[in-house]
Amino acid sequence: MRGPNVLLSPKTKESSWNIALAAVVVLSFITRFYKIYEPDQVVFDEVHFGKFASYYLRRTFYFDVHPPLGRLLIALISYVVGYDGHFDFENIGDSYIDNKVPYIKLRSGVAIFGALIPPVVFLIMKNMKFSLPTAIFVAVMTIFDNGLVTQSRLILLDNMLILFCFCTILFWVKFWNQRQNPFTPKWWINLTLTGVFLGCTLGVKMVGLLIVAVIGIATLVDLWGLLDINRKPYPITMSRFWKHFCARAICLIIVPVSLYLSFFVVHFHILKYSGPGDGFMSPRFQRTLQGSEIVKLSVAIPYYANITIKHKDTDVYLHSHPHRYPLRYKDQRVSSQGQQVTGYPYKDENNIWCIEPIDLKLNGASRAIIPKPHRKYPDKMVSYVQVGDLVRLRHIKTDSYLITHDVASPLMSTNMEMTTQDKSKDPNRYNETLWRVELLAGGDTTGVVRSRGQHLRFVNYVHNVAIYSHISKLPEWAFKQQEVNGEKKISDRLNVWIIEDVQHETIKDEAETAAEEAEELKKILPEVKKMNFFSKYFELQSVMLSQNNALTKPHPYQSRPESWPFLTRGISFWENKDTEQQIYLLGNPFSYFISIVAFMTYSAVWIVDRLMEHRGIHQLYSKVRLWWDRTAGFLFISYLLHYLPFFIMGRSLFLHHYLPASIFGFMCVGALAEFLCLYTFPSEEDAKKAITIKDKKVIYQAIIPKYYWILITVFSLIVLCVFIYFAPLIYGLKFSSHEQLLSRKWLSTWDLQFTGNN
Amino acid sequence: KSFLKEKSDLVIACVFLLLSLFTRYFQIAKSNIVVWDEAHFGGFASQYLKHEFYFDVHPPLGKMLIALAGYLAGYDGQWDWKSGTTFPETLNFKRMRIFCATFGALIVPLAYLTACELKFQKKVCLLIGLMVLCENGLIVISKFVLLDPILIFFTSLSFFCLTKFHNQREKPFSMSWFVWLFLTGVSIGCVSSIKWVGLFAVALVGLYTIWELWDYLGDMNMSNKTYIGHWLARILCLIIVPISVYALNFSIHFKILFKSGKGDAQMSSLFQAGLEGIDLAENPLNIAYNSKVTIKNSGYGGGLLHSHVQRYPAGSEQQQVTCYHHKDSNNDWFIKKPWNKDQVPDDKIEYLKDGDIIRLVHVQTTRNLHSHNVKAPITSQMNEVSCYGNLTLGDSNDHWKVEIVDDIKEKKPENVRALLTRFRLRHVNTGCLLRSHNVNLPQWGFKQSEVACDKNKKSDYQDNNIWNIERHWNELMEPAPPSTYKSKFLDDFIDLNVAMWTSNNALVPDPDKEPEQLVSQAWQWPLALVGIRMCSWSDKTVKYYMIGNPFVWWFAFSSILCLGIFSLIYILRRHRKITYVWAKNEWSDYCYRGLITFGGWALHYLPFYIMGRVLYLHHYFPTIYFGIFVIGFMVDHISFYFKKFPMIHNIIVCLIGTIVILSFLFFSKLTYGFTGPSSAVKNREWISSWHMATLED
Repeated sequence: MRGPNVLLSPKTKESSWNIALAAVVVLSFITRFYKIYEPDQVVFDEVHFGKFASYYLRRTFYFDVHPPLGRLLIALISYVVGYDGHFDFENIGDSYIDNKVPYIKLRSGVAIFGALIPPVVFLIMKNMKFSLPTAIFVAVMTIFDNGLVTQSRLILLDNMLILFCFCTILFWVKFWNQRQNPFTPKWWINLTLTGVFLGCTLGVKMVGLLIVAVIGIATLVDLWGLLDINRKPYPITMSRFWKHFCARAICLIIVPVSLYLSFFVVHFHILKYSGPGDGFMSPRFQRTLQGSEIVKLSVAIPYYANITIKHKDTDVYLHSHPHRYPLRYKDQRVSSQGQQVTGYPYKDENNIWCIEPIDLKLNGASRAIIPKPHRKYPDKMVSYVQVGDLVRLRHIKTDSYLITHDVASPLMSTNMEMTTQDKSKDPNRYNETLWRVELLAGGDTTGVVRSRGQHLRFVNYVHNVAIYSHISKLPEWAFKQQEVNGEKKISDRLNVWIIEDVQHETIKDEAETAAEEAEELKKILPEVKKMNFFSKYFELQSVMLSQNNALTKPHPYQSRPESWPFLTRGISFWENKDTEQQIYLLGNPFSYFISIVAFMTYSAVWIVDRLMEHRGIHQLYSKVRLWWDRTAGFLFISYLLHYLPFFIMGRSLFLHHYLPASIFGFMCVGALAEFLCLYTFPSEEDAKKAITIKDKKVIYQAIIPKYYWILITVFSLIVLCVFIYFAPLIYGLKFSSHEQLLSRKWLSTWDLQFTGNN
Repeated sequence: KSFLKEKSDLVIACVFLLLSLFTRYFQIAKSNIVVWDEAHFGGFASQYLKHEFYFDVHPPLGKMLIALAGYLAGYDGQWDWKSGTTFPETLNFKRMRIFCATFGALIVPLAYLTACELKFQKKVCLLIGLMVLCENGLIVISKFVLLDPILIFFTSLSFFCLTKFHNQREKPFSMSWFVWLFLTGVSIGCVSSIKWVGLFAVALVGLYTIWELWDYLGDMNMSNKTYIGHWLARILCLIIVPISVYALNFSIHFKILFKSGKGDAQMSSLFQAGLEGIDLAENPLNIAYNSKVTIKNSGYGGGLLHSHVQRYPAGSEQQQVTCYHHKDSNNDWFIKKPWNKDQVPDDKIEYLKDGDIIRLVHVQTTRNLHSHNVKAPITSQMNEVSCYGNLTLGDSNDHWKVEIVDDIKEKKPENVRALLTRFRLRHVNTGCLLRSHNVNLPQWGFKQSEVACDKNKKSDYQDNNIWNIERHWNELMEPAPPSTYKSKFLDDFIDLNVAMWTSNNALVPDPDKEPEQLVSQAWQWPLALVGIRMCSWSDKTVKYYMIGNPFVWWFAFSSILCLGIFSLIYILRRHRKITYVWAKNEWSDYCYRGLITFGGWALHYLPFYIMGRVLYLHHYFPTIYFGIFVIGFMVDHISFYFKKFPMIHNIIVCLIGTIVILSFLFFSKLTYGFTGPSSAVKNREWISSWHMATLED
């Protein structure tokens, strides 16, 4: 059916829009700021983000898997409200009042971001040429969504993520509306702002990539349309096409990328002192931080020094003690009954090993080790351990050498047992006590092995396995200390060790020696301390990605994406046992329910209409179908792109990852309602009135049917009622009775606190 | 003479067949030891010839054909096919290998005929045949007793039938149309009865069918009746026929394997009771207190209730209880009276009745089956089941109530009877039901199935919560009178498939345990970056190195890139109406041939990226078969640009052919086996990761 040539959305006075917008802003702020001072305790992930703000204010380096913008903004708010960063946000439930944190101001600052989301959503609907009632209804669903309100009132990143995400959409839509007047100032401004907010979204969390995908696809569709030779009113030339192409490349690629990088510039600039995040970075990176232990205490290691060796990822020391492996393990495997070698987290005399050179007579070494007089104490002969040297490690307390052999380790049958060998016994096994010291990339490369500043690997000369440790604890017979064994895969992440303390007769004071040596080093390698922004950025970014993927540790409230639209489970944010108060993250069940219905209806109508059209049965005006594909389709694809990718993410996922998608879901509900009531089934009277002919063009001017207003009012009221019904779970209010609390448990899988689930 | 002209394709195909039989049979018995996976598949052939039931993750057709090869070779099934051992005099392994190689040889004429069906130019058809003929990888995999040549044969047969069917489009519902549709259905049924990766071929046929039905839907000249007819014909031939073929293979499988063997425990107790030579026949009928029993889960793919000394790493940290599919003494349990009642003396018989409260004592560790309000390790909405206490120590959490569900022979059974009665075990204190399901525990539970206690009140009749006694020992009682048990085929069929699926999922192998030199990553294949040593690399053995013809692989990869670039350019040009002078159907032909060859390649390649399992180079062999067709397509297509100079195109075709032949000959030493030190092939190690001559371990 060809139908009308022009489709116009319903006319509404601009003043009505403005009044509605004002109402949306007011309601939105009321819901977000209501009782924002409660609870006066640390809630859920405020533990993390509050802590990060403190680190910024103290300017100490820390590490997190997310890009810095969101946390920088929180820090900025903290700075503005005069918080000095003294509090550590250690546990959920810590009191803000006792610790004198201006948490109300902090939360208010963050809540502003959250309160701006509904107005932005409202404006998107307006700019997408939806009717006023539809826009109001979508805004109502966004204002009164339990999940968004809960999330907005706390010191969390998601407000900013969601706000920036929808600002991107808003400006993209405005840009799209300008497409008839390309290269005008308005066109440029909207395109640039799209890019700016794209960069901001990405700067808050990496899931911002989802909005990049949305805009990317929309841009490709746009460009494809520009390239069309049958484009109405006239096809554009290739040179003009390239102009369009370059404008988008600049505004949608270069602008966001440079913004994204600039956040890291600020991040590195602020965090100039050494802090809790040092351990994640390479020694080279750590050198750039002021007060870093590496700079203060890194010394070259002389042979016959007594050292302690620390496992990089689990912070335990290589340890041994005069106890033996049991003959038989519980799974019936046998051990060598050799002396135990374990990982032990505390300082202990049994952590000390003497690093010794190999006997040249017994074994051809890669280089001759010739002691030279020490530069400061010329009467003492020293030689230093070089990268690649074969060394032996003697356990001081038991006077035995570290060895590995072809016996399976206690916990991992694929790895080799690590034990020690008495000094006197069995010279045939001499070669098995030799370890090659290997240096991982990122350290100084002068060839000398240094303490603290270098990530090292010790590889056995005979068996070619590296010393390995992991967080599994050995049973009682080893006092529940950590297992250490030999790993065949040399490149394994857990084979990395750092030499920590060094005692030697030529090192009176580590700091002093380190300072002297640093002077020497400067002469040889003047650039050692410098590291340009890009190398710093790439190092941090790669650690962020690998740590993000490693976030697989199960969390009691994690959930799978398939459960989100059906809202089968929430997240317990905070609880107070005495008064049975709690904050529990849930969406608005009614809004979620109609979102699913809308999604299914859209898919069904789309498929059926396409099949029928293919068969030559036309049910829709072609202009209506175009609207259906373009406008509603954009929202549906955005919804899918913000939801489906979570299925292939390996990390632990939470309900709040669904919040951006849920707003797109609400918009889809609006689109479907508008499609059904205004364009598909208008009353006969309205349909007649709607069509006018002007300049030989058939114009369809959509009219809002009266019942539509009633429908919208009823639905809005239901949304509001459900919201109020669950409000105590949002604001952490007290229920009037325990039965009241129990009545909120609509699904048995909602594990509300104090409702008898275990 | 006119006959020859008419049937020239068939004549050429026959010539190809002769050539390919030669390349596959040549020196086939040079190595007289068990090479590569012959150890597996020879072993399965032995099982068929001995009629002993076994369990494997692959469907049976391929292994049954290998067993047929063994039968034809006069093999009696008594040898154990240990890897690397020399074949005994009595075993005519050469004939078995020839049988498999014949399948491997048939793909060459099939490739040629398929190319003809795709309406490529004659020289391109010849080139495709030549490339399949000279593909070192396809040759080396065909020379041994393996499933792969059979799999590749049926894959290529499906592709051939599909192209043949496509060419019958002009005369729908004619005899030949039906014949080729039917044969397509049969061949996709066969290919998925060999390995489940055959489903990639099914996907190709499926996508083609969807496209075709969509196309017909838009054909306004076609009446609705005809359209529905198209649907019905496809449902019959492409859904019902393949499923029947698949099921038929399993039915033959069950028919052949009528004796008890290693795989019994994967199947239901009733199925096992129907096997010859199984000890279940010695079961006394009625279960009594103090009997020693094994308890089988009734769900599809259910195992035997099992416990072992290892403990749960979390939760209660008590002794693990799992479901296990192998028979060992850790599956044995004693039935005892509860703690608050007197035990039945050893010399008395008291039968177990419906509603009795019992205690189950694990024979090996003397601990009691126990449950409590602790979350199960994986399925956290259920309770944990563990083993706790000993013969004298325990509490009321060890008490389970027996609730009879049904009995195969009687309507209202009173006693619990071995094999026949199905019952629930309800935990007395918490009211939950003992349950096992196809959820595998992690490595700490040795990938055995989880056992939990189901609190859901609506799950009384779920098979996973229902159990039966499988083996029963009681010295005071006589074995039950010989009775005939018969299980339904459909139950056994589903049971076995669920079990295959479950163990397939448990096959996420530990990368530490796999020899690093054998496994590879999917991205390494198109560039031919890896090869596999198929046997021991000592100087004396005949050494085979599995590697494709690198030029064919590289050509395939570059053709796919070209196909992408060309298509993109054409689509953009069409969008801008800058078209070449295409002949009438040229564009739609380009789409059809490009999509079907590239689609075959992509469907046989991309899924490997999302598969969790360990991958080997030979997984790419069906893919490269389609890759060769992409080469053919691109070579055929570029003749478009040489319309004025057809000679240049001829030269290009000849050049490619020559390169392929030369590189085949160059690498043939690795394909046909060589003795002596491997350093002799050092000059063939073009890429260091091929490690064909490297000396380490």
